[in-house]
Amino acid sequence: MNELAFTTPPTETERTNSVGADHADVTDATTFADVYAIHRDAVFMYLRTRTLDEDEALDLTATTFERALDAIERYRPSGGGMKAWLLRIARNAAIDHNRKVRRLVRGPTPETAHSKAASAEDVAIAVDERRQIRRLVAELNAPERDAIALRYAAGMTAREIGEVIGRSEEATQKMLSRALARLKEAYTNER
Amino acid sequence: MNGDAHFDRLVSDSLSEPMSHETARELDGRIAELVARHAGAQPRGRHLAMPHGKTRTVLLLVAALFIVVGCVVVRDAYGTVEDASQVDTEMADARAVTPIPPGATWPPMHMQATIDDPDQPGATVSVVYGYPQGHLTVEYVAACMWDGYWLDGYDRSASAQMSVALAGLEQSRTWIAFSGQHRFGVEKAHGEVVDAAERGDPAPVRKFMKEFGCSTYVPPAGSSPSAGS
Repeated sequence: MNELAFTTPPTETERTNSVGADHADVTDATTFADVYAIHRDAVFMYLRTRTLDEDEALDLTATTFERALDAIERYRPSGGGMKAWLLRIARNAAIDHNRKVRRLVRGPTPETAHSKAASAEDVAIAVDERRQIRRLVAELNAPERDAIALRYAAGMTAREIGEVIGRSEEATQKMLSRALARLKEAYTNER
Repeated sequence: MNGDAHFDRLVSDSLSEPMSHETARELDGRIAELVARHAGAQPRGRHLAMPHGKTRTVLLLVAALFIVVGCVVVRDAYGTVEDASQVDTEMADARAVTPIPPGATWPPMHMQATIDDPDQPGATVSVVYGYPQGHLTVEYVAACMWDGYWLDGYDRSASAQMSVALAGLEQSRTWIAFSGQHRFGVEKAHGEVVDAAERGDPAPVRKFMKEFGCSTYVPPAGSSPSAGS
């Protein structure tokens, strides 16, 4: 029926160029579906690196997009664009989640608990390099872990990561190099 | 490949491993429900998307369908008698609780109080409706929108849009028109449409839209034809 007042769907090129970067016109839910389709994996992979748990990452990804949908009217393009905006929401969701879990669990932080659980599992399947890398990333300090997760799980540039964590591109690049060196050292020591 | 490049690749592969199909399906479903719920809660009617004359034609087609369905197919399905203004009020109530696709807007909806008298050229006759005529009209318009929205997503291979549309279509099974509670005889036909969409088959959806008064659906500029083409 003609009364379907859909926003004119963007071409694939337009989607990649606009919604994925600095497109401001994301206030209707049709376009939000595009935003979700484009950024789903990056948000999920980042959160999976933060949580080390696929189910928790799923819950937090849903929370991230729910918050984004509620706030999308207020979205304004900035240096990092839509992706940085979403990852900031994801990062805050992960921080909120960890705070809640800490309050409930008391004692070791959930991250430590996860790391130990993952560590025991990884010893049993020592050949699984990917699990080992994820565990080692989780054992980095929080800023370095975030930088690595945003770089390798969410596929962001140093400039975009800087937008998310509130640092300059240069400082972010240095932090990434340090974190990667530390990660490699830990990995080598375990091999 | 040197050691740094190899390690860089290892880290990248480890952290960007694709999510499982199960997780993706679960996540897509949750977001689809979220978007559908959000769309249903938003104020509508921001702008008109079609010329008034065409809208009237569409609505009359829908209204005509219900007159036929109500009087011939299941004559005992309607309850309280309503005049046109009462149906208008009922339609306003129904629009407030019936979700439509993201970005879609309701057309103007008014029931005709009179129609041309087929027996006396130049004269008119009053039209009598019955509850829940207003809900049915609104729900049919909404169902057409969801059908068209799903088809548009199908034609553009827009999986996220199709997921949102499926959530809307699934929800339509519970509406008055399609739940079977008033036995209008159309719930089976529309149920088959929803089933077809769920298994990714566009043909029954196009057929339904064409046969049940949605055939004037015109996809937005830039997308491929969906129905009535």
